[in-house]
Amino acid sequence: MATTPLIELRGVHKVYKTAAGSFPALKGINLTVSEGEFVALIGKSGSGKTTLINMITGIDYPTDGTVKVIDTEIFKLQEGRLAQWRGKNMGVIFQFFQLLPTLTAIENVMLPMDFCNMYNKKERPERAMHLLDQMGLADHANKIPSTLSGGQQQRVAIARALANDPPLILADEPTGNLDSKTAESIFELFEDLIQNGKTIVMVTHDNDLASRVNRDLTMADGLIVQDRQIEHAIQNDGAQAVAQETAQ
Amino acid sequence: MSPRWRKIWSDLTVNKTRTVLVVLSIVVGIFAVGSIAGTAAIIDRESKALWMSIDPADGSLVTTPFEAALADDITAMSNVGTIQLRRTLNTRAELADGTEKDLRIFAVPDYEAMQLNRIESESGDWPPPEDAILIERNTLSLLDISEGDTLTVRLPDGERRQLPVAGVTYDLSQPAGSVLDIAYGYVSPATIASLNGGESWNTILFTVDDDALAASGLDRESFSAQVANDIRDRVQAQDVIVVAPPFISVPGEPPGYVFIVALLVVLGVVGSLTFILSGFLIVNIISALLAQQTRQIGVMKAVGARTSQVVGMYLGMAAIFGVFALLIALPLSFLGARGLAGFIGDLNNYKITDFSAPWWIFALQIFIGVIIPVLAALVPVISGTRITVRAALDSRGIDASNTSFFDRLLARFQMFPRPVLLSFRNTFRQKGRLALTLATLTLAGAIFATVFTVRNSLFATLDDALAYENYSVAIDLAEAYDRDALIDAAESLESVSAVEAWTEVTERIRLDDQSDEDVNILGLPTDTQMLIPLMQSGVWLDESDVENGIVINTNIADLGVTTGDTLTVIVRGEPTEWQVIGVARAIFSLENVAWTRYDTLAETIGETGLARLLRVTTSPNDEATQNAVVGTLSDSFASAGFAIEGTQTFAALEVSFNTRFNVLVLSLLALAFLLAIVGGLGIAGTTSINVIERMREIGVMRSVGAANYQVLGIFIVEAVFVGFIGWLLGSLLALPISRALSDGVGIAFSNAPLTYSFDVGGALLWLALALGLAFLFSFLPARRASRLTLREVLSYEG
Repeated sequence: MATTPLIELRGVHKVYKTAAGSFPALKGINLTVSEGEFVALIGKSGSGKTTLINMITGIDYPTDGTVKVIDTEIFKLQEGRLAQWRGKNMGVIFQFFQLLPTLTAIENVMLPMDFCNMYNKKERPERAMHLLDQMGLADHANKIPSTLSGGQQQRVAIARALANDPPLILADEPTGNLDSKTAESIFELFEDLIQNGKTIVMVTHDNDLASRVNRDLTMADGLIVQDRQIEHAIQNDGAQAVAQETAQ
Repeated sequence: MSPRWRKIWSDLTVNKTRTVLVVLSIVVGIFAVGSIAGTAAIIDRESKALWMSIDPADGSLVTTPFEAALADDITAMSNVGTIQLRRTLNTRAELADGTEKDLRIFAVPDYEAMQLNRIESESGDWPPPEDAILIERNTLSLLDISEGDTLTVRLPDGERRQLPVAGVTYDLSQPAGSVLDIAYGYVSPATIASLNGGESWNTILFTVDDDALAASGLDRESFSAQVANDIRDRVQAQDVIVVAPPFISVPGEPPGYVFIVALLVVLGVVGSLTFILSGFLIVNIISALLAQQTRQIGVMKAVGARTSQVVGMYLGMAAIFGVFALLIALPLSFLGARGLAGFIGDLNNYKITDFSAPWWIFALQIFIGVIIPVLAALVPVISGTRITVRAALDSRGIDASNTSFFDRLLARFQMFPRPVLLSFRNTFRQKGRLALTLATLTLAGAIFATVFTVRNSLFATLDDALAYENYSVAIDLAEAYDRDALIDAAESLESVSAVEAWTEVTERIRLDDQSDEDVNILGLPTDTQMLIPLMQSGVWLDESDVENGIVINTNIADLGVTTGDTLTVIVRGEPTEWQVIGVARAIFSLENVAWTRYDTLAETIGETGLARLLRVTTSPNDEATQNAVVGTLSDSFASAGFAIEGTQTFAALEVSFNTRFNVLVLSLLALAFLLAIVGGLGIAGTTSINVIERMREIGVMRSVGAANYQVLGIFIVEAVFVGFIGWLLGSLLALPISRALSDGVGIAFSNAPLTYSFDVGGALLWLALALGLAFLFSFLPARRASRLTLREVLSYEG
């Protein structure tokens, strides 16, 4: 496993001010994620999982602490540059897919390339079609999201996340809105991406899926309460099993 | 097409209702401004070119008859350039239906060698042959006559002459006869001599000498007035009397042009307000669009879009709306300008042949159509796209509401059903959106009510103007005749119920700064029943026993003369003094007019016992009786040897006023119609978008048991409530705006504010429109939403 740190959070706090008072969503998070890791963030509702993912993606700002992703302190970037940097270096996948409803699947996939001016204009549709093909959706390239199933939409969202070939994928409950069979197929895609050298941090409620990553972080009340490295051995019948848990 | 522009294009085409609403609102704005600006440009160019093509005079004087030799005397004056003589004879034309029309007949010494105010031939014979008449093209319809027909003319002495209509002319130098209800005819010098019994002239047209003008240091108009006075002094020294104030042209402008400018300014103001209103609408709809697409904005930023890129997309959408609107509005504006310019041209006898608008009109419309929507969208787009990614993605379609003062207030009104309270609360939930919607509705309602009020005020002022003239028939005599004899001759006629004989003089008043202004002074009985003046200050003649008391109109008062002042009037070259006892309002008149006792004026001008004007009331006082009395009176006077210079019935005066202001009234109504469209679009747009962006809320309400009618009721009550508040605020705003515009219209047309009369009917009409449209455009989308399945509604993505 590679040891180059891709994500570094140091002393990250996030406090939300609401009408009901201040709410500390994150209470001094320290976290390092290395290149090639497949990390699951698990915990109950309100534990701070989404807030933590939002810190890493730059979608939200910490109240205190530093966030460094791919050697960049992302919150030192101006908003416009951060958006472009995110578009080039991260692929973000949402629970509710968040595809633009009036664009076709292929147009949704091309969107990050267009905004970040990646690949020349002739290459973009070719690359987008290639990504959709990898997702098994080549025949649905010209359909709008409302005509696709949930699983198909999430595949399109994954293809969009891969549009600019980012090294890091962040997924917030990517299977939360899918049936188990579809969720399984999505997870297998993630496993393929890991095999291809991507780093994935995924928020999930699904314990079965969480057990198949190689590291899981359990959060509660804004803190990481458990950080486990999980090594998987291949049994003679080809099934994976948790061979060892390394508690941290 | 790149995906971001593909998204914008899809947004435009997927939500056709919204696109149509925005485009139409921009179309109305472009049309209002473009057609009025285009009309102004066409009229300005064509009318001035036409005017200059006739070699216009700088001024003219109408006098008692004089011999042609006097022209040499005038031409010799060093400050006079060119002169042109005319003979004007006021007669009556007998129409085929038995009625009569005023017919002013002209003759010039040589039609082929006219120096000033040249008359052109339209068709038929040219120059006018002997014992025939040519009719001015604008007045053919007044006489209901065509080339080749025979016209019966009643001369001042009562004699009737048959004159064949040998052709048609175009005379731009005369005010449009169709507006003044006067026909114009043109005859040869010999013919007019046979009509009025002598070879003489009574009108002097002149231009000023350019060198003298340059040396004077004055502008052309002021110098022309000075030269007119010099000519008057010269001719009066030879016992030729100037019978009316000299007419001084505004350099480069045909007669009546100032009224057209005033008309177009008024229309331009209202048109611009309409355009501003459409700008509000754009802001409103773009704001609603951005609110609907909050989550999409967050997604775009999450996948790499900079705020500037997102701003560019939505401003691009605004520009595309503008381009769509231009495609519709440009040809419509062209047609509108052509139509309005043609209408104004026909009314004012401008023979417009080139209706092309200058290039800058198109540039203006392109600027309005594209740049203004982009500018209008700028604030909502920038504020809507600055939302953070987290806030945008957290948007769930059901907004959190803080408990506000209004919420707590509403909580006390438990007598209303819960859904109704929810409607009221929803109305104030999005204060920014409400403010924009109310601003649009308020402005639309205010302008709508203002337009109707200006129209109402115009009619009220016309009524005041006509109320001044409390007579049925006015007779102007060719010279002063025995007053008692005139009265006896008139009173002996059937249908005549009352007669007054007045005198008049046209002279000059000398102001404190020693400058002179022309004035028309009428001498009438102090207890006159034929004139009901609207007094601004002081008293009328019957309330004063000052022998030389004089009542002035507000045009003279504007020169600095007030009640109590001593007014110096130069009568027959000698200064006379008059005591100003009151000021009466001038309505739709730019002339300086004053009134004094008959006895005093008659004595001053040496015409004691004589009269020049007759005012008659008829019974019944209808148009037919008035016309009949004119006919019998003319015969009777002819028998008695009284020559009539001109006649006017009250009915004709009414027609003249109404015709003059028809263009303004019709144009204002057309603009009110446009306003209704824009205001209606505003209501339609905001209410339908309001429903659409709360689709999920509809779903949630239905999922917890709300019946369809209850859901519908919430939105309808909300929309109608907002419509009502907008109407109320608009009506209140209409009070000062309508007052200001009424005053402005009055001052533009007649140097005095209109008689203000707020049109409650117009305000109520807007209320009905606003509430009706609010109901319709909330009912339709809400009903559509209520028919979707719960799943469809809850997953609606706008």
